[in-house]
Amino acid sequence: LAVRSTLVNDLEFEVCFPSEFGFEKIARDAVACFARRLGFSASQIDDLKTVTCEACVNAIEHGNHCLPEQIVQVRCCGRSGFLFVEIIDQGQFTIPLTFQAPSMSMKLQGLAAKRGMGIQIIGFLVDEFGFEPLPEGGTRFWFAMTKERINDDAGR
Amino acid sequence: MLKNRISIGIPIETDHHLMLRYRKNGSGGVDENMEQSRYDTATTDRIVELRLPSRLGYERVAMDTAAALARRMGFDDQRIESLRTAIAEAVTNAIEHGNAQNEAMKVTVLLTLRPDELVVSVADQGVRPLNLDDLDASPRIEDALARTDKGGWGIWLIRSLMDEVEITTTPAGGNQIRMVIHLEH
Repeated sequence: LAVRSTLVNDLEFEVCFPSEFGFEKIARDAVACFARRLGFSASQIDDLKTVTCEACVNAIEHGNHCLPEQIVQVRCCGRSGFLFVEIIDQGQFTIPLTFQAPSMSMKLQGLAAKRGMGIQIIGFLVDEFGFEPLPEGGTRFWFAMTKERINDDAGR
Repeated sequence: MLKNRISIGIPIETDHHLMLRYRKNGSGGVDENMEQSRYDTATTDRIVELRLPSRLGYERVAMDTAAALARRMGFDDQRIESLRTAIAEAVTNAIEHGNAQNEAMKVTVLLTLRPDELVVSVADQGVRPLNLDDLDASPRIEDALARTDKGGWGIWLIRSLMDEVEITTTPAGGNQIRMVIHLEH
């Protein structure tokens, strides 16, 4: 939240779309183009596209239960060097406060569902992320990326 | 640097007011098959809304987003290029003239998907209202050559590329251009 507050006066972009599978790709392309304008590298934009898609699919499927009349809102705040993205749904999905994604070995042993890797993948690709229920209903998921990670990318 | 820190927050006050941008045209229900593309259902409009900062260059976000939508709807490459050019002109006008490049002001782009057409509406906040009486006249190349400023071709270009064009003033006083491109089967 502190990170977000520093971006209030920076460039903002927003895209809203119905909760139908397929629209996450539209949001993905829009956010990628915005990040490109901010000077993010191709490698980081690839990460950003993956994370945006994962988060939007979660919002469509779990948050808004694939109801097209429910809207997913994606807001980006950024400047050259930093990008903050939030994805907001209108659903009633309750976040378990003790959330812990099942491990890959649990999945391979059949002890957990094959799906449910989204949050882990997101964690690998962004600098910081989080989610919270909103008072008026729905969930706000957010993540942040800094351009300094370009140096990290060069080393891997 | 912040790195992979997960935060689960508590409810906070927020200024987000999600606008309902979904309208049913008929009595048909919503397709429940999640795996199927929804663009072929004839009963609904689907609206994607963009809000862009008024900074030149960010018209590309609208161009790319509209192109991605049009591609999924089945428009061919040539029509998509026409759409991109028309949106570039409309959004650039909104940024440069309508909002006078005030980055705090937003350009709103509504992309309405219908089974046989894509409707694009570009609206600014109207710092400099368009003179609607001047927009019907076709620009003349001789006049442009005589001027230092070679601009003024945007509306003419949009009209040449889109199937329907309508320019109005929003209730709030902003400029709005509505463009329709038909899907040719």
